[in-house]
Amino acid sequence: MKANKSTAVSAFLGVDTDFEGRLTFNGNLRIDGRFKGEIAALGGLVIGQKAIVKADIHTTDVTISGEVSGKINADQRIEINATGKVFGDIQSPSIIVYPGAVFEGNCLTSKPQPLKEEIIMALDENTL
Amino acid sequence: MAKSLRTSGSLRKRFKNALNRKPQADIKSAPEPKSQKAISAFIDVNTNFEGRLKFGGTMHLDGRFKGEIEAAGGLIIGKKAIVKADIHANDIIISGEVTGNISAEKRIEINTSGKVIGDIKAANIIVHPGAVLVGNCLTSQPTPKPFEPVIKPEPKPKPKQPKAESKPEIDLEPKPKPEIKLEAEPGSEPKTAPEPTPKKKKARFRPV
Repeated sequence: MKANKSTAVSAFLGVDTDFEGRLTFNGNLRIDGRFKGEIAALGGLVIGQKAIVKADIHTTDVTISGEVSGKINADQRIEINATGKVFGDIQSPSIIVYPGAVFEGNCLTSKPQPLKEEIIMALDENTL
Repeated sequence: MAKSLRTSGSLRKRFKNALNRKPQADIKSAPEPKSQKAISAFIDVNTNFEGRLKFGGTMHLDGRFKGEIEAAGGLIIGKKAIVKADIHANDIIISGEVTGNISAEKRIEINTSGKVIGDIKAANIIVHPGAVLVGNCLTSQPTPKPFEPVIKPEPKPKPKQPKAESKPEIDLEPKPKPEIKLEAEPGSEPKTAPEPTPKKKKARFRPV
């Protein structure tokens, strides 16, 4: 599992992609479509401009340019770009909100509780 | 492999190119999908999906997936992929492991490294030597399913308006009810208590 800090993208969901369910990954992921459910990952998440995400998110690093409804926890950083819309509570040691961004929710600049062991085990062992 | 290239033409070449392509290249090319055949989604080895997935273009799946896949376009299942899902797509190429029922409107191709456990149904079925296939095979066109998005936009403003209209209607209804009660009360008073009536009469006289 070397992909943790690298910039390699491990998954990509395009504009005309709909997903409903649980998603776990190790690496970087970009969402441009619609997603509903839960995202847990060791790595970065990029939510594109056209993306509509309704999910509880826990990753290392999140960059939001689209629309997100749900709790967001990041171990390192949350960045909401000018085009980003966030409806929900966010928690991360470093939070960046650019002018123009929409953010409705509570903000907490402390490190969130670490990911559940089961999820990390699933990521490491490559077992579904 | 050479035979398959000859038979399926440019589509096969395109899929092969997509298989060889690096993930970073996909990211750059994907935000501007010119046609349905452009890769619209990509899932690498380190990714687990569990749930329902629908997409319009072509998808390359290399990670682990459990659930249901429905696509209007093509699906490429890579060598390292482990998929436990019922799949319906237009065109499916399998190089990895799939457990579940698969139906394709055009074609199902199982490569040498592919392993399929489940029933398959498509107009054209291609199984390369070395592939594992455990299940029933049916070479007929499956009934086309209408493509509908999994996550439908919620109609927010519409339900609010009828609620506001209905509120006065509800208010109007309870109004006649107290009237009926008022009518019933004087009727019940003489039956049960003849004593309070004189008291009331006294009270009425005093203010007058």
